[in-house]
Formats: sequence, C-alpha cells, structure tokens
Amino acid sequence: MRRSRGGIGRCGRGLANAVVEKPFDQEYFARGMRKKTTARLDFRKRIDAFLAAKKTVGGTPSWTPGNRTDERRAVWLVLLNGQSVGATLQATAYPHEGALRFTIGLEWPDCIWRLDFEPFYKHHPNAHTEVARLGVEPHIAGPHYHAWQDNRHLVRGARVGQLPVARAFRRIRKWEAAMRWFCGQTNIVMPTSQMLDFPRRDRLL
Amino acid sequence: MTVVADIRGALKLFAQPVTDGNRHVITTQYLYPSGEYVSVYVTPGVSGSLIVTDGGGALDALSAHGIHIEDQKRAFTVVRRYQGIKAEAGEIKTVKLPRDPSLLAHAAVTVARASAHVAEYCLAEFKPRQKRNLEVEILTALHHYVSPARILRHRQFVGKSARQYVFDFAVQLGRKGTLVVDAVEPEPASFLTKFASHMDIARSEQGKLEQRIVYDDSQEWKSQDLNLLQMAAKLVPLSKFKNELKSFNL
Repeated sequence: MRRSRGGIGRCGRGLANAVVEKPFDQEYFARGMRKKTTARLDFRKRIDAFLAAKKTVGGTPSWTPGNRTDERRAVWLVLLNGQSVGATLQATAYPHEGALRFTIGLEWPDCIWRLDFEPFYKHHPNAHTEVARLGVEPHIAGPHYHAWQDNRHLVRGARVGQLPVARAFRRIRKWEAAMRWFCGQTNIVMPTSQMLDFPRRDRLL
Repeated sequence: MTVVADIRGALKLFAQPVTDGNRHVITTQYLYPSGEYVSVYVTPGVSGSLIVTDGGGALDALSAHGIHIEDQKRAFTVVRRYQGIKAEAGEIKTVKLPRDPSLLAHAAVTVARASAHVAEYCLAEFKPRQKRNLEVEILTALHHYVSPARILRHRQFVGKSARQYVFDFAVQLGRKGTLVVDAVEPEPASFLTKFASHMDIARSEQGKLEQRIVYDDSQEWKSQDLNLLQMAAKLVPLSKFKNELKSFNL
C-alpha cells in the first residue's frame, strides 16, 4: 500500500463542489483511540460541559401515547453543534387530570435534569444530609425540579442515578413558560415552531 | 414543645387524606427511587365498597425518567409477590374492599409498597442503554486502514439540488474518488436528514463518490427505517464496518 503525501491535494482539486474542509482534529482522534482514557474522563465533567454548551432541538415532535392510557409523551432530539449525541428532551403530560400536571426531562441517556410539575398533594422530601449541605427545603409540596447541579455530588460510577435532591418550583404556573424556563436552565434553544401546545383532553371522563 | 409533639407534627402529613375529584389521596411513608413519597388513591365504588390504587404512580416514575415501556406485563411481574393486589391498565390496585378501616390500612400500605417496588425494579430493568459513540468508533476503524492525514472531518458537499450538506467523514481514495462516511442514529431527525443528503449528492455530477451510512447494529432499529436508508447509500452495520473498509484495499 502506497501512501502518497500529495494524495490529498490532488483529490481535493478533483472535487469541484467541495466547499470547506475542516482539518483533521488530532486531539479528538487521539481521545477516540485511547478508549481507556476516554472512559476515565470524569463522567460528571462531561455532563457539566454538555449542559453548559448551547444546544438545539431537531425534528418536529408530536404527542404520542405514553406508558399509561391517560399519559401523552413528546420527544425532541437534542443536537449539539447540529449533530445528534444521543440526548433527548422528553415531556410527559397528563391532560385528563384535574390540575395541570406534566414532567419535562433532559435524557443523556439517563435523566440529568428534570422538572416535575405535580399537584399540591404530591410530596417530595429531601434527605436531611442534603438539607444541611445545600440548604434545600426539607419538604416540598407540588411542583419541583431536580437540577443536575444539586445532584452532581451524589453520582457514583458512570450512571446518573435518580436525582433525589429537588427544589420547589413556584413562580411559573403555565406549561409553555415552564418549558421555556427548563430550556433556559439547560441551554437548549427551543424555537416557537418546535414548541408544542399542552395536549387537549380527548375524552369527557 | 416536647419531642413527642415534634414527631407527631412531622408525621401528620401521612394521616391527612386530601380529596381530589372523586378520590381521596393518602401520602404514604414509602418512597419512589427519585425520593418522592408514594401516594395512594382511595376511590369509593358502588354499594359502599372502596378501591385502593397507586394512580399509575409506578409507571409515572418511569415516564419522569424518560423510560417508555412496551411490555407492561413484564414491568408488573413483582406485583405477584403481594397478596390481594393486581396490576390493571397501568395501575396497581386492590379488589373492591368492604368499607372497613382495618382493611383499608393494610391495603394502602401494600399498594404503596408494591408501587415503590415496581418503580425500583423497572428503573433497574429498563435502564436506558449507554449509547456507543458512533463517530469515535468509526474514526478508530478508519485509522486502522487510512492515515489520519487522508481523513477529513465534517466535509461539505453540494447536492444536485444545490443544497449544501455536511458529512461526518470523507476519505480520499486517490483515483478511486472519495469515500463519504456518515454515522446515523435511530431517530427520525437523524436518519431522514442523512437520507436526504445522501440521495442528493448521489445525483450530483461531481467526482466519483463512494457513500456509506454506518449505523449501530446493537441499537434497536425499525426495518423500514433501514430499508429507507438503504435506498440512499450503502448501509453498513458498525460491527461490519472494518470488513467494509478492507474491501477498498486502502
């Protein structure tokens, strides 16, 4: 096999339609080659970087049936630099319940940020250790959110876990505003065209 | 205030049923894996009977974690371990109970325990799989056969429609032209974009192009989606990608 040093130039000239060539990224390549090193990279730092990066959403979602008959689910593909990285923004809505109820989560592939817009009779306690450490409320009734930043220190190994620490979410009372708030917290750009209205009831009882 | 009064105050939450429509909600002392208390719902039936359910709380805990399950029968297998309750329409529930407070207490605690158990079991059993980093794996495979200098990342080509597309990798093959390799995910937004871009550049009259779309065959794919992609370019499973590269005599 002959590897010509001038090969690239010749072929490059042959491709009249090639517009821009991004030079090969040696550092990225080296990371990919040294698999063990990649695995050792701090899992938490990867999530920090992912959350800090500006992301967009791909595709036009729609509400589909969820795990239960009364549940509706929508999934947006989250794109980083225009490319899919296996992350999704998922919303679950319960249009048949008396009070407004929904959940919004960012999955990569585990849930790394979540907003639970629950009725007032649903209660979420925080462990006493976390109350002392983070100053979170010991007990929350109704809507709350599980931020990555509050649960980061609880991650062990390479899985996120269940995000047990939550904070009360009291200022917003509408679906669209809550979705915009969530996207703002997680650095996701959500254009109006890709936003969904809260699903309507499709039966009377 | 005595310690006893403190304890009473702290546990008051569990003895305060709240009415929501035609059902009464009881907060129990069981916890879902995400730390939320399990609520059970007591619905009065005809002739004074009562039904205790978890209101679908176990499945809602999964939905909150982005887990969608097709096989609900498998999800509720652990319910069989508890006497007097069943899983129906996504809810864990008792049979109709006569209006007897002593029966109600046991039923509420059993339903709550089973609901937390199902949620714990399903979160472990249906845990989303860590996706492989397809691009890194393609790059690693390419490096076995091609020198890094011949691999171009995010190369742009213009299709017959005059639209511009970015491809994950382009490998210069000398007189044989250019090998264009794209990674695709089983999400419509990903595979429909790749389908359109490969169809379009295949029809453009530019230098000789060898197009390959690589997919992760360890992930679940619908056959119709793979058939669609096959119409645009040669589809290569990741496990066979090295064999495919060998065929080019790089």
